[in-house]
Amino acid sequence: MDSKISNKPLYIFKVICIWILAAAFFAPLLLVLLNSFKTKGEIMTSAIALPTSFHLDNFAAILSESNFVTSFLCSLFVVAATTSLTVLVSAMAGYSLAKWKNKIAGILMIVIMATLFVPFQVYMVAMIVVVKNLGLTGNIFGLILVYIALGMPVPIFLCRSYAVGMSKEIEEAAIIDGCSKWTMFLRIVLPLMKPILATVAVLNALWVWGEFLVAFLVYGNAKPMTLPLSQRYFYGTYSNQWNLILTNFLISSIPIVLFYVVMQKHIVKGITAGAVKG
Amino acid sequence: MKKKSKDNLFYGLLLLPALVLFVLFFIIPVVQSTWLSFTDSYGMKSTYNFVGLNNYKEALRDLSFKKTINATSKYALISVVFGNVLSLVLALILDSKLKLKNLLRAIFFIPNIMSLLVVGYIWSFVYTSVFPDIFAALGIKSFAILGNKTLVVPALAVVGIWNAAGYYMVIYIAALQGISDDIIEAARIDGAGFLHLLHYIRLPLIAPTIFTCLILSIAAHMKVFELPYTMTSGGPVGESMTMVYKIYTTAFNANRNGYAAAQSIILFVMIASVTLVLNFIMKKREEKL
Repeated sequence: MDSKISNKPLYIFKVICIWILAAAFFAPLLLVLLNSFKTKGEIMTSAIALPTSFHLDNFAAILSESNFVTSFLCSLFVVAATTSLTVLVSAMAGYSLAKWKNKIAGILMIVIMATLFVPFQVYMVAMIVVVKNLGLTGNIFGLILVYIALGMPVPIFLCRSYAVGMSKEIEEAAIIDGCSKWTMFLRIVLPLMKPILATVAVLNALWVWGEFLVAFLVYGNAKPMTLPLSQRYFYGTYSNQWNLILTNFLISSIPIVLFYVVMQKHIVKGITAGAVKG
Repeated sequence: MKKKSKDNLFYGLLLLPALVLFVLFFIIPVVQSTWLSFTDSYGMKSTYNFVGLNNYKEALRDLSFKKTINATSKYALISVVFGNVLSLVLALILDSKLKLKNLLRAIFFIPNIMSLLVVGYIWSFVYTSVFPDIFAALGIKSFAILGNKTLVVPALAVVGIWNAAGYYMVIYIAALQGISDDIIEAARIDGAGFLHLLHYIRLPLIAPTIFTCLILSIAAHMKVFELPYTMTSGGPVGESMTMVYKIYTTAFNANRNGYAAAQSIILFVMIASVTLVLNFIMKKREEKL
């Protein structure tokens, strides 16, 4: 960079700008952190002062609350089931749509893509009627089914694009070696699709972990609650006990932040791949 | 011949699970939603009558519904315009050589991975507990931001932007990194400064991405529900009631499924028309080049 010297003022300007913005972005999170160490009284006196002592009563209270732990595990289960099934269903459909030389497949592809332009909120009223008619309201497996259905269009699209680029030779060789088509799909195709499946899984897990509206409508107040549902309930029950509410948010956000740190690359890849299609 | 039908069975079965889910949870609800919007369907009652365009006519007369169109448009406009400018600024800075770039990216992105529900509650704490304390510390007379008719929608938009900025930033960074260094270097040698580079090279080259982000963010922000639900319950006096929130209350509190379906179709038409117009402009622009 030969223009480095002349750009020095610009560089400093950029650094100052970005750190001011970063401070503004981080402030609400910092407030959550600070206030989770305070007592209710301390927060009432001042929400912006530093905690007088780093006492961990709030954390102990939340972690010993059985509902929190149950919801946490419930959400883990819902995410694991939804994400693994979404990945499987999308890989199967995406592969089929890429390789099936059939008019139906072509039409289906266009129809599935059309779903991307119709947000769930537009047909949620009728969707709940369907869910009720199927007897799936308040059913955790019903919620998982709806999540798979709502979450699969982009994954199917990404899997299809990926499968189109896969060479036919490996698959043909496997068939010649006496593999059945199904063994070939499980043993050859799925492992080949691993990179795109990982990306799809990471984005899907992020979405399901924090999803509220669908869970609220489909699952309602059934038990065990998913984490966002339990947080709404918790907020209603402990209104104004911000020390407990904020600590709850803090603890339940830790796994997702760790997940981001580990899966950063996949998240970025998934977001940009999903946006390019638009 | 036999092989062909075997192939069809294989590919058909692979597609089957997705197809069943798709029909159950997309095709049927969408068709039913459209049909319900022409009926007086009420709650879970299985009988209802065809009422033609009555629901749509009512929506156009219903002041409280028109108010939600207003609030939603205002919210979406502020969030889309300022949000995209902010995301673009973040991307432009983070695309250059900088220390602690990964930490900075994480700070801007973490609000996006948090649950919108939690985001709403955290900001309701910020607006109702933190701001009064800040005002007090500065010696300004305190007032309820979320209770203020003019400020409430912009206040929600701030939260919407805080939540979404990192997402679009990631897309803009990817687009900026796609510009070849040769072009930038050539322009530099010709004496182009930062603003020249931005105006004549960077922005025109990522224009398709800007359109994509505009389309994505308009659709996303017009669907807002969690933020008013957690922060204002639509208040004060319905000032921050958004369309999806209204559809939700019409369907699940007032039990008027037919009317709620009509409101949903109106929301869809709004999102679709903005998307189509932007698409049209984008196509026109590409043809010109």
